[in-house]
Amino acid sequence: MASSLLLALAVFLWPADRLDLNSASPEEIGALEGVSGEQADSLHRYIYLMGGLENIYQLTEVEGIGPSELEALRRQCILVPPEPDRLPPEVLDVMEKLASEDSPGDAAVAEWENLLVRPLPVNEATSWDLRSLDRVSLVDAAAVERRLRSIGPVSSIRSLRSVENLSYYGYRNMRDFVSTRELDLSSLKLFGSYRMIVEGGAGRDSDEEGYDAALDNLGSALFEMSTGGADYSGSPVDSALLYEQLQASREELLSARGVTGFTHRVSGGLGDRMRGGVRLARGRLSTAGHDLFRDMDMGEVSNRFDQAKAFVSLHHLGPLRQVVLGNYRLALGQGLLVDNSGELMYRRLERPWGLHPDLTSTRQFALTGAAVEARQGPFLGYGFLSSSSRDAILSQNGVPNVPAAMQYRCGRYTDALIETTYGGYCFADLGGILPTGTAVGLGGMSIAYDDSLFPDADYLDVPNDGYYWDCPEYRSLEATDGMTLLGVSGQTVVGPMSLEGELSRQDDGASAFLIASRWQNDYFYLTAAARHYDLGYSNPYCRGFSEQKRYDDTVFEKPYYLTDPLVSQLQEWPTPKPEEGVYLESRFQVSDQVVFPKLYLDVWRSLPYDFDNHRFQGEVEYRADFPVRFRLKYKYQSKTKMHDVVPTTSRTHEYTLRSFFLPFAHDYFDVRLRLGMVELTPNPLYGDDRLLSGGYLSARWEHDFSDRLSVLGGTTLWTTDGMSQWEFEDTGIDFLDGDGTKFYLTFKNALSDNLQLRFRVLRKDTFYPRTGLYRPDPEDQFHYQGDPDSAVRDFGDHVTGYGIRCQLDFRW
Amino acid sequence: MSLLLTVLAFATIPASLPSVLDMGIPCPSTSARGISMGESGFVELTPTGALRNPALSGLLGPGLLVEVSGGTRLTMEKRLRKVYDEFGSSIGESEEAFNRHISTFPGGVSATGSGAVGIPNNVSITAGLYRPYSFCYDYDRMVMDESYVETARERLEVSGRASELALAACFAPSERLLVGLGAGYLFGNRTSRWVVSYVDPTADDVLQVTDTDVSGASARASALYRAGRVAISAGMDYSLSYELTGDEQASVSLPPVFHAGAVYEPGNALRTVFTGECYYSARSDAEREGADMYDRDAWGMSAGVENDLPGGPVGRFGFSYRSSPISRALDRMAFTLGLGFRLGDYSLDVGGSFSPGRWRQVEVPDMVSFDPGDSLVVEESSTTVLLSIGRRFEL
Repeated sequence: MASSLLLALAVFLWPADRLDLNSASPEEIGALEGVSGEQADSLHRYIYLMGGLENIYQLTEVEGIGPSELEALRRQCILVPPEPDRLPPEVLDVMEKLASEDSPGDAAVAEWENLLVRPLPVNEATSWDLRSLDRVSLVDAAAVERRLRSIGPVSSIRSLRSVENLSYYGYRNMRDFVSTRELDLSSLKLFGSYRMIVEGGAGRDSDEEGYDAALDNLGSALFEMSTGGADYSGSPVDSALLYEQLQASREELLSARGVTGFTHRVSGGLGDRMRGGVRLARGRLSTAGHDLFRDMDMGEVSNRFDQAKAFVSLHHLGPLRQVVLGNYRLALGQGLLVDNSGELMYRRLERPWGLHPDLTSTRQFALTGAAVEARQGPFLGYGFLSSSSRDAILSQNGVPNVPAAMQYRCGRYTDALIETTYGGYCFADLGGILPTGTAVGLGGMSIAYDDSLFPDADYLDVPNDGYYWDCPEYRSLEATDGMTLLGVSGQTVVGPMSLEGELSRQDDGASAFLIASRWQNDYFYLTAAARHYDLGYSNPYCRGFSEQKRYDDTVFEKPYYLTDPLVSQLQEWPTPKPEEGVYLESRFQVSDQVVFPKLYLDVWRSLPYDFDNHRFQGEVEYRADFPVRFRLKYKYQSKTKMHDVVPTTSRTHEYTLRSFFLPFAHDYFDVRLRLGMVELTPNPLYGDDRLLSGGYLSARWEHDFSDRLSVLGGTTLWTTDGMSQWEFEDTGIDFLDGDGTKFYLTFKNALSDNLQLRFRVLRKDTFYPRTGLYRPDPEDQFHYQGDPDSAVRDFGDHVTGYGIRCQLDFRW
Repeated sequence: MSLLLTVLAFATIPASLPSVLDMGIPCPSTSARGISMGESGFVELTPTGALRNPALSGLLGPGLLVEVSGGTRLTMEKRLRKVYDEFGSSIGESEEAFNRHISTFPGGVSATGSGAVGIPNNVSITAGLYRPYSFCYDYDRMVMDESYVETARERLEVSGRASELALAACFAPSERLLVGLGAGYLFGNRTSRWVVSYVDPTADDVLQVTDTDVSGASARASALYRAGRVAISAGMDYSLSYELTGDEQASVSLPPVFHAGAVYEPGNALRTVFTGECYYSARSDAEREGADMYDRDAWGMSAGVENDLPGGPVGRFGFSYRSSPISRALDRMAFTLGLGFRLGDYSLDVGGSFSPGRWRQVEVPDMVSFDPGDSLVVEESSTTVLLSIGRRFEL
């Protein structure tokens, strides 16, 4: 708009025979009076590299252009401003924030990135659409819908600020994803993007350590069996066959050594009608070829990739809002019945609600088939059908034991089942007769496997090792060839308050429920949530609010208690642990200088053993002056877990002091100090109180060279005495153990509005002193690899790891 | 070609020598600008880059451009051995040996000119001498018995370099299209010296010295097309001959290397330049004296960005990934950085790359471990810094 006005003004004020320098050729510039051929070449080159000038005085930077040349150019030339970038820098900033601390997760980021480029038409949005946005509550979403229903469309996003009951927080989180554009269903404008990510490392970084640990665990199990340390008498496990199977798994994992991860993702669309996309990827240190286009011989392609996803979606076909063929994501209600993201976000009530195409890295929970979203009057309905292969842990007799989401996959467990899933969810919007945002929903889902699952601990437990293998979360699983689930949900919004909930029930009677309520205004919100997950509730698509994953603090964290150490990957199964509890969260802005960004209290009971747990976290932030902020955070947790028959309780105190500075206009500086202590209560097996501690100091500095180029550097020093730490880097969580230092550098360069490059390199050094290794008994000695008779003395294990990540985004 | 020499160097190490991986280090870039743009070589916007991609000289501007480069490389290597408890679980890695080596080297000198007297404006000529790879490695280890008493000292020193004298010509039949041809003569020398000195005076020390000359010739062809703000280039490198003489005698047959690359100038206040390139060589077809060398096909890619920092120098950063024809364990990534300064007709550029690696001796075929049945882990890093000085002359 502004450039068009400028153009009109330029044409009006200047004679038509003046030359537009921004679009002139070298010959045209050379033909001007007072400009030589060489000067013309320099001028043209400069303007070409700059992408156009905005004012004539920029030419003084060109070598050979002095005051007389400048005057001559002013008389003879005009400057028609270059076209503004279609992607403003603020949008790129938001994209960066999505990858930062408190990240919403892979699936959410993918959807919100799409909305940043093609914002949601707000005048046609309902609360169902708005609530899926990052940190937009049901109260915020209903407030906007109420405004649109009662008064009509808005002419600018800024006018939403005055909507009653829409908090400033909600408005700020919403404004980048919505616009006043209208849906253009007749347009066939082609748009798209290509993303390439290369991710690798060297040395012993955390990926390599996890991979080495998996190999070591297999090696340790083989060693035990070969030296007669494992007694399988009385067990249904054939130890000789198990030995062969573990060897084969190890060989297969070894083939993945040194593999660099990469991703190619292409997506695009035609106007607002049609979208499509393809993703081909190979995970770092992953084995290849499994599940890629099942039953199709892909030859070399199978050896290069380990994941393939694709979709085609059609939009706005009358009552059919969306039809997706291929891979799709579905998250409805409170996520108790269906939410097929591959991650469980602790203590999160938000999720990218609704139906979306799926090109995320989720594997085990990817839905492949068809899904439809329909709206007619007050009814919103979803239907879905999927047939996908699934990994599962097999008993030695070849019978599927339990499904698992495995990072280190070997052929034996890969694609062990075919899962057929179908279902639907229908919502009735009662906002016409009750307050806006009121709705009820009813849904159902059927999951069927082509082979029956028989959970049997006898095939997983190492027999005769003196350890009593008790895991109620696992033992409560029953033999099944699938399950049927029903879900009921409801929600309402009254002024600044909302109430919502969902109840889901399995066909065997196990159930789960979640009720959440929120009261908010511009300065304060209070959220309360109550949840309950039965021990037998094992819906693989449940991602409801919880404190722990199902197999946290269980025997699956100890590979040496398992016949196959790879089974320990079951601890990553992303469904809620059987628990019940109450969660309270608040944010309170006391004044312009003082705010409590987040306070929460979680009181929950872990149902397998009826242990009571508490967790409190409070943050207070003080803004002394605009460019300076201080934030103090305190966390307390009391948690009990079963440990070798006798429970162990730990009490954790953690303090974090953080300060933010803006020392100069283009610099951002962030320093963080954390100290933590864990106190283990007396335990008959482990003696007196044990005190663990740890802490770190980190600093981060970001400098903006321009709105297109910024460099971020960070460093961390840490020391731990039994208590590992975690910290947010710029792209995710990193765990710190031992003593060490870390340094990383990130370049973020928007080369143009079509091409963005993000490049990151990291070096991490960790030191573990290994002392007290001398053993007089040769049978009990530590030894070097390949030399069992060599004695080892004390040494320091200096672990150095490097990570390199390169991401290229091309949009058109 | 440079990758093959790495293989040849490994294969000629006498049996019982420690396994060595730093011989015949390929140098994808021999100018500071190229190395800081992701170790680019095919779309390296310097006279040296024009020797490797003859059509590129058409992008370097009129006049005579001369560039001289030199640099230094720091290589660090740790050899580690896993330690296990009585249950067969690893408790960490103990350091067996640590080596650090610094070497300096000339990167090369090259010049490209167009629009000179007698040469049409749409023709460019480039000539130069550059170093496609070097042989430079030191390894030192103290051998001890079970009581940690020194019994011997083992040392391997490898030195030498290969240089290429090259000539290239570029012709622009139109504003958008440039084609180029080039040729190079390779010459150099590699010396390896392996010494084992025993503490026991009755034991015979070991000394093995190998001196080998290398020579060869290559031809190149490339084309470049300008489409708006993007210049796309493709080319081929073909080895006409490669010979080893001296203590080793061999004739090697190499497959061609195919290159593709692009230069993109989006046009913004930072005057950004983005380069990207890739290469591929069917190294599985390589032969030495008619016998299969059992190499893997090799490929690589790199990308780099250059920005005029506000009020300051030119800033550059980049990334590269190169697969090894020997073993996947030797595939490498590199991270690069650089700065450039303009002082009238002079340019001063400094750039560096950092490439870490970790591999196990048993993962590399035909490599002899210095302890039978051993599977040492080798952690290495290579840091290269190059300095280039250039000057443009008006013709």
